[in-house]
Amino acid sequence: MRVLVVEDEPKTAAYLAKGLSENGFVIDVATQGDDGLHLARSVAYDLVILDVMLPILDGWAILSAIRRDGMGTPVLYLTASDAVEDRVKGLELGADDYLVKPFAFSELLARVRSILRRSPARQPDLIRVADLELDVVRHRASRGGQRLDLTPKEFALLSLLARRSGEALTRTFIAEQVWDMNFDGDSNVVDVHVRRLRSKVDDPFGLKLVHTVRGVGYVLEERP
Amino acid sequence: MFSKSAREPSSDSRLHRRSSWSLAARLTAWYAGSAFALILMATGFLYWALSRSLDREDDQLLADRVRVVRDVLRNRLGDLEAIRREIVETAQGRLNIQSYIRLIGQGGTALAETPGMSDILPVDSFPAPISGPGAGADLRTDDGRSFRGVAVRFEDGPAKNAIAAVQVAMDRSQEDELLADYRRNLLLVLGVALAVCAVAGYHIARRGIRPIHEIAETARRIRPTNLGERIAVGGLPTELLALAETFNDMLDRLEQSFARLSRFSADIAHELRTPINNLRGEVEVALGRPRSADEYRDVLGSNLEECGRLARMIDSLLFLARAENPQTQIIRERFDVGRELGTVCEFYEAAASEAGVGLNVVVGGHVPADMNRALFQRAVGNLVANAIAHTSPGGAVTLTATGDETMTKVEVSDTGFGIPASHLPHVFDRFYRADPSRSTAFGGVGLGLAIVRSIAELHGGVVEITSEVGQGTRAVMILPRPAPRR
Repeated sequence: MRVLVVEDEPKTAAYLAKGLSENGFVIDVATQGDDGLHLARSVAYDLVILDVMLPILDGWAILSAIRRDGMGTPVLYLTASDAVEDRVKGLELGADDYLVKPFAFSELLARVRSILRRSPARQPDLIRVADLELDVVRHRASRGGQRLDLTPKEFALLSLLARRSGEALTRTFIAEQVWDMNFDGDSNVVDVHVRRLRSKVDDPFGLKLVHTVRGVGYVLEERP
Repeated sequence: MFSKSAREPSSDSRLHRRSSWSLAARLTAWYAGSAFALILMATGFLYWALSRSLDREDDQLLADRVRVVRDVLRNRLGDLEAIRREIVETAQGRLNIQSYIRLIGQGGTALAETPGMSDILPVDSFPAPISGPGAGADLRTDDGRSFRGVAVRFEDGPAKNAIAAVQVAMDRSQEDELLADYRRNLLLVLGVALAVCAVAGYHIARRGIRPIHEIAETARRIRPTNLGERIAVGGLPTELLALAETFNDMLDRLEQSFARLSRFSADIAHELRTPINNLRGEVEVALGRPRSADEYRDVLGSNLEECGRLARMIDSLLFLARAENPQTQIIRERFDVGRELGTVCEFYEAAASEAGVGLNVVVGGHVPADMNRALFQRAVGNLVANAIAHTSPGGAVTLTATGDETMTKVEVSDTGFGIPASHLPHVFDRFYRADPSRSTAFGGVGLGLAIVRSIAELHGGVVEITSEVGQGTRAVMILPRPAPRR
């Protein structure tokens, strides 16, 4: 997957490029608007990540130029202002998603992945991670054939982590997905839920699957 | 969550700039104008009274003459010669006032008259004869001399001598001169009065306006550095006292919000200092000597946590700032409060049970609300988190909701330690913590309740906290429901 990052702030551009390439993307970086537009026109990218505030040619101009050319390349834009006008403007111009600075890199990664797999892939009925098995239809979970006794919310949390196995999920995202809660992220509420889940899913077994990613959130994966 | 209403401030400053006359000039004009008008009226009246009393006096004199003539006629019946003599004598009369007498016969011709009278005052220059004594008429000769004259008809006695009427006139030249003199003096007085009125008016106006200048001067002097200064109200007239007091009240409020703002910036700086200090210190120490990858990972993870804290704080501050903007409007939707409280409870249930605190929802029936759901969750969540944090194991936190067509009332009560009365008025202030040592134990930075209040106010509602130490705390949000649109 080839991604173009148009960002004039050198540090931001550098960590975006590094982080994305380490997650399997091929990255080109443009630090000026006109270079960015030139690249976007000449190379077939799977995604363009666009900073709105750019020298010479700003993000909006690039976005509208790309869409005028009839290119359907997905665009995710980054803005420092979360004023409604700015957010709406980007979407109206044809962007696919946006992020407000400061954002968590894991959040960006999640958005990028969700844009790229937007073609709705059917959720599997059965999820397997190591010896963990989740039957999404019947709401049943087991490890090594041993049935796990989970509450509905615990099952929802586990299946979210399992579906996104290998992907670090933030507490805010988890609260939104599992409890439909708009959550400040200031308290340790999600940690308590995860702790309870661990006591049922991980503690009785030798191989731990739910891991804490410091400063980010949680990931479910098989670690050697 | 938010939308902005685009309302331009109406700018019609032309209305306020119609007249640029200074207040002093206006007051001066009014004072001078009205004082002068009064003086003018007074002098006019005096002049009128004088000329009227002169007229009366003259009429009296003329009536005397007529009586004398009548007496003479009665005594000297038929003796026209004697009558003539008598007339000449009478006319020369007293007081050096030249008067004229003429007897008119039945045919309308003059039978006898003061010598030279017909040259000045011919018969027909008199008004028609009247039958008794009455007001005379002003006569004016061709050469501009002024007379007062009267004609009286004789209907009895002497009329038998074929005398039908008598015409009497007197010279008024002296009186005219007197009146003209008087007029000249009056004009002089009026001229001086006008000047004096204008000058006096100007001084009175200046005096009256001086306090306004002083108020303006004080207002001009006031800067953020001397917001404590106030307009001296001693000696101000009542009308301006109200103005000055209003102005001082405004300064009080400004000073308070200014103090709050600067305390707020100081608080922000202070709150930012802690995470940044952590970041910096950890990185410095970590870079101090070579370490294992795990140690580095640990430091970076901790750094990330501090960054998260910073980002959340900025989010909260931005939220508060935006909520304070009067143009901010929220997008409402209808939902069932009981269900929403259930969602919140489900989310906090694990944290509550870990803290040994019971968490329950008591909602009788369907309580609808028209609010922003995400904001409502956030407000209730903050209250619940706060309640759990302040309740010891074995206690309970209870959520209740009631409502009708006009409002929704949500209550979060706990059986916790309570808040001392001295802290109660401040718990909704930003960064306020009743117990400074607790600081971030529950992860918050002291913005949670401030956000609750902002959310309540965004919905046009209020939030109140009552508390008793050792008994527990009760937070009540009362949120009006918007009237259905037609």
